[in-house]
Amino acid sequence: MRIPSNATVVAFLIAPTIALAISLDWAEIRARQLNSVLVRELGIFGYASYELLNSISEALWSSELLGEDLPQYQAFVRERAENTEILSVRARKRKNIVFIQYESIDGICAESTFQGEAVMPFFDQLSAKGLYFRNASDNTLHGRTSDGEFLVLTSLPPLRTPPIFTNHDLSKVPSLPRTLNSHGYHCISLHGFERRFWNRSEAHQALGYDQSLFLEDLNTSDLIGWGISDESLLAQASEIIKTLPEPFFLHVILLTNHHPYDHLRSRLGHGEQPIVKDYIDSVRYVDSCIEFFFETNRDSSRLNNAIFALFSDHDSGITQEVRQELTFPSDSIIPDAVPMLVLGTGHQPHRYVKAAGLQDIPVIVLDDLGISIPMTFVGNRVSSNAGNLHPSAGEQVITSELLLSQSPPPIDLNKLTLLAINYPVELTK
Amino acid sequence: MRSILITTVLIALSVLKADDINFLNPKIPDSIVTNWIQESEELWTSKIDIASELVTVNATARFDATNDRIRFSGIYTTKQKEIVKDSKLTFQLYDHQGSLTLFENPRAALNIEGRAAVAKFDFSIPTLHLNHEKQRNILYFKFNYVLEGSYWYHDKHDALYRPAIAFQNLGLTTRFEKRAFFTAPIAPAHTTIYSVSIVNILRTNLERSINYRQSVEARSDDLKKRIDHPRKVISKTTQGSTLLLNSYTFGVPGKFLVRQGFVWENVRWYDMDQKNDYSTVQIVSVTLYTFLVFVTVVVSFCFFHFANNPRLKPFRFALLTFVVLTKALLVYLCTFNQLGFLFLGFLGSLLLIKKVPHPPLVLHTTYFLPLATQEIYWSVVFTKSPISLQGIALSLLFYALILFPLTFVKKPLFRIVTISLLAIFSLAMYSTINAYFSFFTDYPSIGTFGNTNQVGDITDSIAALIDERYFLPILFWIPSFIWTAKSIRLR
Repeated sequence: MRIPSNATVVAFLIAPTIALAISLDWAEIRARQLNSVLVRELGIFGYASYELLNSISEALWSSELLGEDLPQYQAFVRERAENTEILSVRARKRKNIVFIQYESIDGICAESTFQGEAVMPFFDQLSAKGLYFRNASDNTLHGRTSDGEFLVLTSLPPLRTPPIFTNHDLSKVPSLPRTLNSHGYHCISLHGFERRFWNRSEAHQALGYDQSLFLEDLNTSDLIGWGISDESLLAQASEIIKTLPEPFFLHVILLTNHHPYDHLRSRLGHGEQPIVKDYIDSVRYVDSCIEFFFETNRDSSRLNNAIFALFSDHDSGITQEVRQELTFPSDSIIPDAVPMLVLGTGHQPHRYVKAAGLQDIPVIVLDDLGISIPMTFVGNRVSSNAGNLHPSAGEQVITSELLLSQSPPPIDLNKLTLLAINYPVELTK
Repeated sequence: MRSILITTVLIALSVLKADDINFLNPKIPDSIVTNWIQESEELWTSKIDIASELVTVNATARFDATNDRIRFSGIYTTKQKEIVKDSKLTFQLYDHQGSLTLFENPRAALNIEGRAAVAKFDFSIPTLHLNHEKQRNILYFKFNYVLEGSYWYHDKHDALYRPAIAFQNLGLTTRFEKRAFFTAPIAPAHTTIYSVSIVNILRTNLERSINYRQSVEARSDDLKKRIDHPRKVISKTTQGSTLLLNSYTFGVPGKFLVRQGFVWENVRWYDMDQKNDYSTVQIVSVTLYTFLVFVTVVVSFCFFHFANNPRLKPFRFALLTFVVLTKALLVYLCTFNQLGFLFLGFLGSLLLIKKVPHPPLVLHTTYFLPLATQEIYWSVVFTKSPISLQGIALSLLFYALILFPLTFVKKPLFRIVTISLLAIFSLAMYSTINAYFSFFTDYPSIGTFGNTNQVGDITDSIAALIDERYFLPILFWIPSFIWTAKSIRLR
């Protein structure tokens, strides 16, 4: 038997390896919603190798972050911080804070009608009582919901790739729960899906939550689609509120209105209908759940003076189709806007047309509480006229002619976030 | 004389047989039910009216495929003067040839009303016995009367008219006849066991989907507890003699009974001829199973070794017989379960590689084989989550590529160090990853270990999840260490 040469053996090994590697679903691997998906695609040793290479490249990249252009980033952060600086820190009564994070709701659903009826009638009622941002942009990237959470918790733009929650150590980045925690707040998150999804359990802990409850920890008697129904989750939230030590920060992450938006219809046993109709029915259900939550807690002393932030993590992904079916206000300018409303601050109710983003919410909340805002928070306070930092479109501003103007930011926002995650102290020097 | 006797017996037997058939005479039905009206997916009905001089029957038959029964209800009126007070109406069932299949059946009271006797009946007729290839989907039903404790009317009044009905073209669900079933007699816990069966699938309507799914029907030793296993859809076109492959797993050691089963989800299991035809499977712990395989291999090796010893030549035949027997035992132990297949593959590869006259390839295998076996062990045999074949292949190719440069290393000490490091690294990696999954139901990332304090806090809980399966892969490294040590000694 003729023994093959070493080169032939290597070629025989490399060729199928490359062929197999090419045929993999790399989009799914990069999205990395669950590590088990990577193991399924790469095998156990393949996963370990990928993980090792990823960590090495991250470590190399992270050491390069503190390069020559660091002063530029420091200057940018300092400039933004001047916008958000608390001028007079007063000792105020610590208000409880409740964030309600919608799933996949387009900004145009607010104030819009479908076949003559309001899509989100309760949200519309509430929006007249607080700070309502008509042009809050969907600033999420590949990480979608987890990016939405990252924005609202760290006031930083998400990374282009890979998703932050599954790929980065978030234990150093200044965050809203960590900041509130240092001021005596008890921080808790609530989500009706598996704790491992988006690596949420670890990410939330790293971001400073004292407690995070998921599908595994909650009452699962009412499931719709992916997990616990919004109605059930909000009912459970109402019960949890009664037991939390004050002051508290409660972050409720809803789920029922998830693509393909037919979960509610399936639950009701209704027949097939177009996706937009499914979507609108589903959004109406979510709105009614929020109404139920506010009704349930109307007399709750714990929520009387609380700050509420109601916002959607990202757009629906079918925004164009939804826009064609709805009648909506003319000053909804940003095409993929998300609803964003803050209630219970000291500001007079106002409808803002300016470009905004979820990163503004923690700044507005901390500003109202009189707590100093971490320098890495790039969101805008209510009175600021600075633009919205969109991670891919750049700085967005609504002009006086009600047009959307986009310009590249002076720095690389991706690098800014990486610096804030890995070297927050160096960045804020 | 002898031939006369035989002829007499045969005539007597044929008369008896003829009598037996003609006795109740079901093959001349008064009504033949062939037109069934489908009411729902599994329910058909038919009206039956019989009007003779003395007997009238107005009834409805409802064939319920879900319960495998005909519900036959209505009013039976007879003006036969032989009927006495307290008599009961009942029936017998016959197959397509007119042979009696069910004699004892429910009764309905016959109430004397003037000159007539009237019975309101609601009989439930089992159709499961139609589960025979030759049955041809026809069931004969014949009314009868009985005076409980005294006599049957066909005994006392053999000429008395009693209507008969032929139920034909029943919308029968699929029927199954078991021909053969093979599975592992001994298997380890936690691993997939296979079964192969040959089944005759009988269908009356090929247009309909098969309601049943195939699965292994497993029960506890005392038959009291049924243990669910994965189900598989049977293709709509399947009929006739069919080979079925199923898999099942038991998480705990013990004795279990298994057979090829068919389940109609949320309705019932198919009662295969109502026979207790289960096979016994002894589930043992992974350690005990491995020990049995290991002992068999060692014994077989020893017998083979002794058979080649010239001093033991007189016993050579006996020793070789033992070798064959132990190898047969090995196959018996290892067939039909994944861990057994893995062992066979591992042992086969060891034997094969010994014959290869190319030292670098043997060296590469020394490193590669235990790593590849561990990958398959955790990805297939004791998998925590689905892993694609593509993924496993990719991992094995990675191993093969990474290990290739090591084949150029000649220093014996370095070889021992390399193999020790590979063993430690791989055992630690697979144990950590899988133990983590057992606790968190997802795989860990390097970042996870670096960034949280959780792992330290739950070390005890994770340790509780580690069982014998985590230590078994050490065995895969033993041949590699022996080879490497041997190669060093030879030098």
